Amino acid sequence: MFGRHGDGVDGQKTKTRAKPDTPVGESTPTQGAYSTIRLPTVTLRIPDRDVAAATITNVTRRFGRRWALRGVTLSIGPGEVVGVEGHNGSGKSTLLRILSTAIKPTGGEAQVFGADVVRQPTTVRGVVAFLTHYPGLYDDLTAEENLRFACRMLGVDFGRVPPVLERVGLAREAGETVRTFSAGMQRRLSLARLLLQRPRLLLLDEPYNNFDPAGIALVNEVVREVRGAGGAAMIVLHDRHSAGDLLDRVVRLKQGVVLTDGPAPIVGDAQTSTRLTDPRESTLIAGGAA
Amino acid sequence: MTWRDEWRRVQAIVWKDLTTERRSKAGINAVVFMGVLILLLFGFALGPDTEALRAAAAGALWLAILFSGVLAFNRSYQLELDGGALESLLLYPGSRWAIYVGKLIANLVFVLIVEAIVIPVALVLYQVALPPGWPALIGVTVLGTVGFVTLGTFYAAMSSRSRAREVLLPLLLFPMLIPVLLSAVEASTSLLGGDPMLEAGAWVRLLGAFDIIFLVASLLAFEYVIEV
Amino acid sequence: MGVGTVELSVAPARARRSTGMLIGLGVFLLLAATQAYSISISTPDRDMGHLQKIMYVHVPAAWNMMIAYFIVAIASLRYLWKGREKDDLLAAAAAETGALMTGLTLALGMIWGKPTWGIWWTWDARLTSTAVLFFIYVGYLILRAFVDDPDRRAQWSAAVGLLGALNVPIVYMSVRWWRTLHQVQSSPSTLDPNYTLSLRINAIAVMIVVLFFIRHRYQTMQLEAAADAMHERIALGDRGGINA
Repeated sequence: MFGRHGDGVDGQKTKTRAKPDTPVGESTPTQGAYSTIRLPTVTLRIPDRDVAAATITNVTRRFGRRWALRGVTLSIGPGEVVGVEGHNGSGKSTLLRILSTAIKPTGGEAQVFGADVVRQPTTVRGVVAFLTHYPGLYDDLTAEENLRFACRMLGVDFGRVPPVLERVGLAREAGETVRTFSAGMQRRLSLARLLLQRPRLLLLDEPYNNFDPAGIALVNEVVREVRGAGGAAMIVLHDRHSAGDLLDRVVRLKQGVVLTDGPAPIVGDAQTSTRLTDPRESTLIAGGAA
Repeated sequence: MTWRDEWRRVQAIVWKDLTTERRSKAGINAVVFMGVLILLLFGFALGPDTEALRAAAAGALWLAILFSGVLAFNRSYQLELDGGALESLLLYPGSRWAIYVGKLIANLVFVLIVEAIVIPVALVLYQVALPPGWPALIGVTVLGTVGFVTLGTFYAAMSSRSRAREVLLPLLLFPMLIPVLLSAVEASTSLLGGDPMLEAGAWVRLLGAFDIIFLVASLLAFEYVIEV
Repeated sequence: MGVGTVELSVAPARARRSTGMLIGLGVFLLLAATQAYSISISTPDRDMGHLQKIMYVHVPAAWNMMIAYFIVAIASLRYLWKGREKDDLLAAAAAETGALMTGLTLALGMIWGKPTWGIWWTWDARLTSTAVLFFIYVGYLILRAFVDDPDRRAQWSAAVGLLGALNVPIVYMSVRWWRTLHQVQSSPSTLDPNYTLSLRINAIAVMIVVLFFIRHRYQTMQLEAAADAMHERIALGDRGGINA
């Protein structure tokens, strides 16, 4: 996992539309600057370094005429929590959706714990839990029924439902239809569905949206648990403060390529939030390297 | 994945779709109302002559079923699209055909319930007396409905996610259903008349062949349709 | 880099265009020749007079639409199997040509039917099943028009094209039964040897026209797809700062 950028440069695929060379080349210097700092902290947490939690090699994805991803190469080690940042349309969600097998990459390849997302989707689906933008719930079913449906689909015993509801603080509303829920409650229920399985890779797409402080703490607790069990997480976020000290690394995407990739504390805390709103994103290349 | 796992998923989807449908009764009420309305309109269009109505009964009934039933298929996917549930549904481990079969069975139950109300109304409105061979009529109705729902569930997976979905589904579906319409109407008409020429058997076989061919084809092709 | 790619791809396209025009000219000259030959050697029909000559286009169009639909089915199957964009474009090109031929068959059949049978339309088995076929493939083309994403359009229309092809024999059979059971007899048969020969050579000429149309539309669609990709690459190069 340590040589992930080197892999990306070598791994040029025959897919003609991928243009990985320049973007990867651009982020290499920043990477080099951080690696010395990052190595010890990561090594401490890794229980099993043989199989990466996720490897993304030169992945591209086209939607109609639009290229959402234009050659992304990343690797996530077991026990690693990676934040993904970037403007709207920079390809963050697309990257998560590819790892979750919701969509197939146009070019390149990706593996989750050694299973290929295109060739072994069923295996990948067994280890990945994806919290999408959308609630992904059925409005006319109650909270409990929604989870029971998920249990049936996952092949999990119904006995898991009450403790999970308890955990996300919806035990009292278990019998009410989701239609009556607030956005935050729906979000909690979506999170509850992820807890039914024991995921090894958590994919969270803006998980802090609609959550109150208690909800945010809950999300972080779940991430820590997965990490503690040797799993990994990828979190798309706009506000890094919610994640606290959870992030080991932050990857910034811009227009479908990796702009920067480095340990979370160094890419900047307070300044980042102002930079995120800066439309002249290009200054970040210089800013990140400085 | 074993067959038992897949069957469990099929059951879960059937249960989920039917529970949702039961909670929002608006759907089935509207569809039944539509079916009865079409029967009534045919009555007006064909005139009050009882003989003419009786002769056209099977045809009018099947058109009422097709035009009202087609409203149900897009709804079945709409409920997946509303809260972004389709993506979550596709991310559960398991085969895609289980999703298709689940939706197919739920839609089949839905359309059969609609028929259970619309058919008696048709018999009353068009003054058709049930012939002694009425169980065979039910068999023809079920076979025709299976063909209708098989293709309807398949094409709605596309139309519900395209532009102009209300128009697209009938445009794709109805030309494909002409063999079903012909066999169901001809078989029912001849059964209602006591099947003097023994024609119904051939039509029933055609209907059965249609059902099997398109059930298999849809099962195989569904994966390609739902995944993009 | 973008500019270089444009120039590279335009030159062969231009060459292909002139070959295409030459082939097209040849194809239509051939069709004109076979038509002229058939019309000159045929004597006016006893019942229908010169009207019968409409058959020299009507019948070949009806035969050749089947070739187009066969290509749709094969290309759709291959697309689902291999997932290559060109199979999708070939299926689309064949479906367009097939629908055109079916429309021509129907229109000429009606023009012929009016003076012959005194009616524009009759529920004749062949006429009816051809109309159903027309609607099935127009549905296919409408689906293509309603879906914007190329991958989705390709995958969906391949499935629809395959199911449509599967239905063709069933439609024919059911419509034939439907008519014969009602004991309605249709088209009177004429069997003049000159007439048969004319039908055959015109069928071959129309087949060449059909293949030319499919080839032409296929190439046009490929160029369109290439142009889209190129636009995209240029836009990204300018905006994304990748090659800055």
